[in-house]
Amino acid sequence: MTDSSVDSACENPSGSVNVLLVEDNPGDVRLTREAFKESTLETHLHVLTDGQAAIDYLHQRQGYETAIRPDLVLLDLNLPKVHGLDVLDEIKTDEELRVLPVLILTGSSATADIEQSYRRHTNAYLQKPVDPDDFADIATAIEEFWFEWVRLPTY
Amino acid sequence: MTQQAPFTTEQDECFPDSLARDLTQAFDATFDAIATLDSDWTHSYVNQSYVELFGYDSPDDLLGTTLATVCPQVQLERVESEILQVVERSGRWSGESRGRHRKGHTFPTKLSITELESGLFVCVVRDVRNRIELENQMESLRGERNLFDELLETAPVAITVRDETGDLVRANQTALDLFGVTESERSDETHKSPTWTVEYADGRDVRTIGKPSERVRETGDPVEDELMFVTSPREQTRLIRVNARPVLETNATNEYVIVTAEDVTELHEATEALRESNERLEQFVYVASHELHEPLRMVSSFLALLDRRYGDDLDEDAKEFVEFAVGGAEDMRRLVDDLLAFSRVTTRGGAFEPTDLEAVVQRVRESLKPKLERANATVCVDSLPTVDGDARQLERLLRNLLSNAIKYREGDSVAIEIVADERETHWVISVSDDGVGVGSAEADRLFDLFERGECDGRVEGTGIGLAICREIVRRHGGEIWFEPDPETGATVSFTLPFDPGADNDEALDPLVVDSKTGGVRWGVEP
Repeated sequence: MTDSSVDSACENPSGSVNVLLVEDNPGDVRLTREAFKESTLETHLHVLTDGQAAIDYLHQRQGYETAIRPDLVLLDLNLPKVHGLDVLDEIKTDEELRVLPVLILTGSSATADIEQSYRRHTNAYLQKPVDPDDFADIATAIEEFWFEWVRLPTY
Repeated sequence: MTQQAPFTTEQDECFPDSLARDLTQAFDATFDAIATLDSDWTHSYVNQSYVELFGYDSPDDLLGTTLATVCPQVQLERVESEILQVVERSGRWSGESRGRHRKGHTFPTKLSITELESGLFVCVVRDVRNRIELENQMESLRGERNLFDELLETAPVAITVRDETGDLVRANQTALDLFGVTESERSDETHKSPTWTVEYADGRDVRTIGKPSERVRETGDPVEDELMFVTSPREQTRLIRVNARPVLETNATNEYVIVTAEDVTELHEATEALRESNERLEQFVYVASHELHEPLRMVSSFLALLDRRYGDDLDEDAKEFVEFAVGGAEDMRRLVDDLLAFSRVTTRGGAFEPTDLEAVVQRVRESLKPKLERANATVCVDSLPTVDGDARQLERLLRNLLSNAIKYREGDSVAIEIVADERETHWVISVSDDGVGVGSAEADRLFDLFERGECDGRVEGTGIGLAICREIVRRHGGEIWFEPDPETGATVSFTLPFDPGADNDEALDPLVVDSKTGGVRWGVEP
């Protein structure tokens, strides 16, 4: 369920942010969309449904040559083709990509998953909440923290 | 009456007096009991041994008495005439008869009667008590030996005996079967040219460290419970448990090594199959509950979203339907969470380390603080030991037990007591409350999955909490139970062994069937 409407970075007005969501479960995609819909910031959510597509997208190759670089990545762990931890590894070992904030957003509460994610330098590990209200709170918290308070390098 | 010399010189001039005297002295000196008898069986001479054999003090006591005094049987009319006939025909009769001691008791003797040319009879009596005793002993030894042979041959354990040179000196039928040796080969089969080969199951090289019997000969120490493979020409490779120990004979010239071997192939395969099946089941429960979690989250999330967005537009019926759906999803989520926790006890357990149970109880009290306060609960804790265990699991165990005590309270408060009792090999920890208690009929059942106490109508729960408790206690090598008929409330006790590793973790490496030989091998399937 790839979002094909790849916006170009220069088209985004200031105040809008680009978030890449790597998630294969349509239900979770929908919940995430709903959560961000209720938030204050205008967020463009680009969705990719497997790990390989995410890697290609970030490297701007294999049909994603014109992809815009996201401001933040929300990454699920149990992904088809390439596992989330390997996608994380790919990003965090790449000279160019490693500065990108990557938040793990998954249903797993396994201690091993949490530990492995931080060992691979995730910027935060979030467990998907059951209550949609909580989901909305997380979306708002992400926006407020990462896009209002945090200073990121410019490229 | 005076002792008459058995020899006289009257009939032979060449036979000097001095010789007769010497011979008489010689007779007196022999160990055999000798007497001469007149034609009417009266003693005319008895030597010292004869006197002593029948318990008399001097020859005078017997001279003039008949043979019947000391051997009553021979002078019975019939016997006497038979003896005389034999003596007449062949010059000598010998046979067995009971001798009679002066004190009255009788004893077995061997007796020979020879007629001399002079018409005298010479009677030689030998005490055969020792010989008969010996024969009896031999007989009982033979009996024991037969019993021993029977035991050896019928033993379901292979038993072989090797001498100090390593030669096989004994092998029972079970050993022959196990090593694939036929009866005809039995005698040829020696240490030097066995038709079977053995290997250590853990891969140690037999050529380097030697067979168990060789190790025993070398060190003198027993070899215990070695797992080995034995391969013979006629049998498939078998897994055996071998014990070998030295046997030093009392005369210390022969040193034997006794080697016993039990065929544990089937046992091990069965254990292994059980372990694998158990592992698959645990894995299944874990995966199933894990996989159920995600779709269930979808159900709950979207129901909540539906309620939030469209709740105001729904009529009372629709609202009620959504409520039931939300409640059901909520129950199922708790169930899945608990099942996941249950399966994690064995599949995702932590390492055992010294764990202070008092600290564990303290953490439990803190995590349950709001619940404890709402239930007006008092928790009285005895001094608790430090045990070897998985701290997180022990915390869950005690939290579950305390939660149960709170849940099943009677009235508006509950008093909980935790005590520890030190036994020989383990601790017994008991958690008591003054709540509704547990009927003896349902006490054991409550530790099974999905079983719940009688008042489940008003108490929330999935029926997994106590099952988790039992899994945790079992993983620690202990047991858990409800104390029968406490005065009030319910008391759950569980044991924690001082050394939880003693019984656990004895599982062997996986056994794999070797496709070439059909036998079994250690290791992992390729």
